[in-house]
Amino acid sequence: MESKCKVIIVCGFLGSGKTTLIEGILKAPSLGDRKIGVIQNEYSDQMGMEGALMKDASGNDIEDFYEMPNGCICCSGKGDLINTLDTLLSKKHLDYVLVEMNGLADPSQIVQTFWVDDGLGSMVILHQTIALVDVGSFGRKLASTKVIEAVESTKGLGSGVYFEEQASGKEYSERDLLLRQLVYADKILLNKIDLIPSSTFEQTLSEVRDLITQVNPTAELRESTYSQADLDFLIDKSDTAIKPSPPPHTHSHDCSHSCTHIHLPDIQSIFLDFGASLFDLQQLERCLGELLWEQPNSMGATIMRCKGTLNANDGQSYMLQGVEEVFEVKRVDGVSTNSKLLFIGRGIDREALFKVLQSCVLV
Amino acid sequence: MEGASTEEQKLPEFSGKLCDNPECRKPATLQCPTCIKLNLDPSFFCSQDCFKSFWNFHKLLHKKKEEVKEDGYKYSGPMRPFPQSVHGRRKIPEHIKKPDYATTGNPNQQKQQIADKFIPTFLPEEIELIRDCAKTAREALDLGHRAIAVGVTTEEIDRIVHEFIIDNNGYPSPLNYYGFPRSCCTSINEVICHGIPDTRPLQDGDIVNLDITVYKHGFHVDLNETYLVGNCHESSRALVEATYESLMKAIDYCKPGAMYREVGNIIAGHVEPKGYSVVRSYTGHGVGRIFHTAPQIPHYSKNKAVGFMKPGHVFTIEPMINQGVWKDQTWKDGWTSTTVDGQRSAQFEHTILITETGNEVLTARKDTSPALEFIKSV
Repeated sequence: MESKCKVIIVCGFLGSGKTTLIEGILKAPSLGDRKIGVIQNEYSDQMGMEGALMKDASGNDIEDFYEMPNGCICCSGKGDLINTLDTLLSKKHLDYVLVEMNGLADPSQIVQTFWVDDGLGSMVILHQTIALVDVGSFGRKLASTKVIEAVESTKGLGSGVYFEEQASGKEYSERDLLLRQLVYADKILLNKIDLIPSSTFEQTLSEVRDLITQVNPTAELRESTYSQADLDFLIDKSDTAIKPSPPPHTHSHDCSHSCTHIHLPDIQSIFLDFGASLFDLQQLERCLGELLWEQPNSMGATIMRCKGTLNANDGQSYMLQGVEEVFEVKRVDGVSTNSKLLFIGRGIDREALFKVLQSCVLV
Repeated sequence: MEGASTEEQKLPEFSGKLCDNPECRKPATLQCPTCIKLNLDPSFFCSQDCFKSFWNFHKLLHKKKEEVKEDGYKYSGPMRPFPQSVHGRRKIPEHIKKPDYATTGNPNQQKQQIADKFIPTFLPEEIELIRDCAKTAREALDLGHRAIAVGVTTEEIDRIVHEFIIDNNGYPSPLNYYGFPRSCCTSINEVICHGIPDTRPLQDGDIVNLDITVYKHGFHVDLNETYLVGNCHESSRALVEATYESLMKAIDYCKPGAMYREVGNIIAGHVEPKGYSVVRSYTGHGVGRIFHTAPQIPHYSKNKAVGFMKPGHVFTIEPMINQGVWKDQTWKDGWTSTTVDGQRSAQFEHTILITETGNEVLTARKDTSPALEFIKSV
C-alpha cells in the first residue's frame, strides 16, 4: 500500500567524492518528482551532539528531525535513528534517503542500523550500499596499515549522535576500512579515473578491478569521473531490500598461485554451489549461527559478509543475507534454479565450510 | 465495560456490580451521575454514604475529559494521565547502593554495553547475589499485587513497592532511569508499558500491569505481572491468560544452545492464532550489572536476533500482547506507551538464568505469591 522509503548508504574515504555524488543525484534532471532526503554526518560546533544533518533536495535542513515520540531508548527494538526517520516520514514523504557515511566509519555498522526487521513495520527499507573508490589512491590505502583512531576522528569529523555506535572502540587500519567498504558494497564506483596518468591507465584500472572482484565478486562496478554515473545505477528502480546476488563473475578466486594477478592473502570470497540440493532450514539457521556468531568460529574463520539464494525442504526459495553477525534467511518469490552461497571473510577453509553447509542439506 | 453505550447507561444494570469503594464491595444500587454525564465508564456504589465517603478519590476520574482538550494529545483510548500528589522523587537512604543514573538520570555504563553487543556470562558467586536481588524483586511485586484493589491509586502501589525495596536494601531501578520519576511502572488497560504511577484510582474491570526492577548487590532483576481488578470482562481475562501462556512457552524453550531469535517465533506462534498481536517496539533484554543490555530479544516472529543461549546468561522475556493492532504510541510524558487503537494490552515478564541443563526462572512465583486472577477457579 504505502511504498517504503529506500535507504542508500554512500561510503568511501574522505575525498573519494561522496558529497559530489550526492549533489549529482539531487541535481539530476532525470530525478523527476522523486523526493530525496540526505543524512550527513558533518561536524558543526553549533550543533553539538546533533551533528547529523537531515537535508532535503534543495539543501535546506529538514526541521523536526530530532523529535522522538516513539518509545524510550532503553529497550526499543528500533534504533534512535530509525525511530526518528519513521517520525519524519509520517509527516513528509520521501522516496529515498541518502546516508553519507563518515569516511572513517565501518560500513557494516551502518548497514545493520538500517537493516530493520520487517516485523518492525518501519517506513524505511535498506536498498543498497554504494562504495566510492578513489582509483588513484586505491593502492596506497590498500597498503596502509596506519590505524585510524576511530574514537578521536569521530569526535573531530562528525560527532553525530546517531553514529555514536561507530565510536565503540574498534580501530581499523586504512586497509581494513577500504576492504570493509568493498565487502559491504552492492555497487562500487571507481572514481576519479581522469586523474590516472594515461601511461598506466589500463594497468591501474585492471589491477583495481581485479582486486575488488577478489574481495567482492558480486558488486557491480562502474568507472566514473566527478562521481558521475547513471541515476538508474545509483538509485536503482528495483524494489529489492538488500539485493539478491547477481550470478558471481566466473572467476571467483579459486585459481592456483600460478596466475598473474595480485592476491589478497587476508581476505577471501568463497563461492559455493550446492546445485539442486534442498536445505533443511532450521538446521541451516543453526549452522549459520555457529559460523557467524562465534567469531572466529570453530573453523577459525571470520565471516564478514554472506549472501546467496537457496532452495529449501518446503519447496520454496530463500535468500540468505548476512552482515557480520546479523543474518537472515528470507523467503523470496519465484524459484531459483540452484542453491548458491557466497561467503566473504578471513581464514575460511573452503572444504570445511562446504562440509558444514552440506550437513544442512537433505539427503 | 467495553463498548457500553450512553443509552445503556441510562438504564444501568446493577446485577453483579459491586460498590467501587474498595473497603465496601457490597452489591451496587446506584451509579455516579457525573460519569454518565461525562460519558465515562460507569461507576457503581452501594449507597449514597459510600458514594460520598469515596467522592474525594472518585472525582479524580471526572477530570479527564477536560484535560484532553487542554493538552492536545490524541489519546487512543480512555486512559489519561492523572496528577501526582507526591512531588519530586521518593527518597533513597544514604546507605543503599545506587546505580550510576540515580543522581544524573543518565546511565552511561549501559550505552557502552549496548554498543558492545556482548552478552555477559555470570559466575556462580555473582548468580548467588542476583538470586538474592530476585528474591527482593519477587517479594516487592507480590506485595504490590496484594495492594491492588478498586479505588487504590497506582501512586499508593508505588509507595508500597518503593518502601519495601529500600527496607530490603535495594534500589528501585526505574527511579530516575533516563529521568523516570517513579519507582515502578503501572500500565493500565490500553497502556502497553512504562505507565507512570499517579493518582488515578483503579477501577472495577481494569487490567493493570505492575513492573518492578530491583538493583541490589550491584545487579538488576526485572519482572512484571498483569492483574485483573475486580470484575473483568472475559475478553480481558483471556488476553491476560494468553500473554502469560506465551511467556511460559517461551521460557520452556530456553536452554543452552537455544537461539534467541526463536523466542519471538514461539510467542507470536502462540498468540497470533488467537487474534492477538505482539508489540514490536519493546523487547526482552539482558539484565545484570546493567538494567538493559545485550542480548536484545524481540517477541515478534522472524527477527534477526543474534546469539545462542549459554550457561550463565541472564535476560528477560517480557511479551506485550495486544487485543488489536501491534502499533504503539507514546504520551507526552515521554514514557507511557499505549496501543494506537485503544484496545487493551497485557504483559508478563521474568528474569531467566540459563543453567548447564536448561533454565532457572529467577523471578519465579512462590507458594506465598497471591494467585493470578486470570486463572479460572474451577
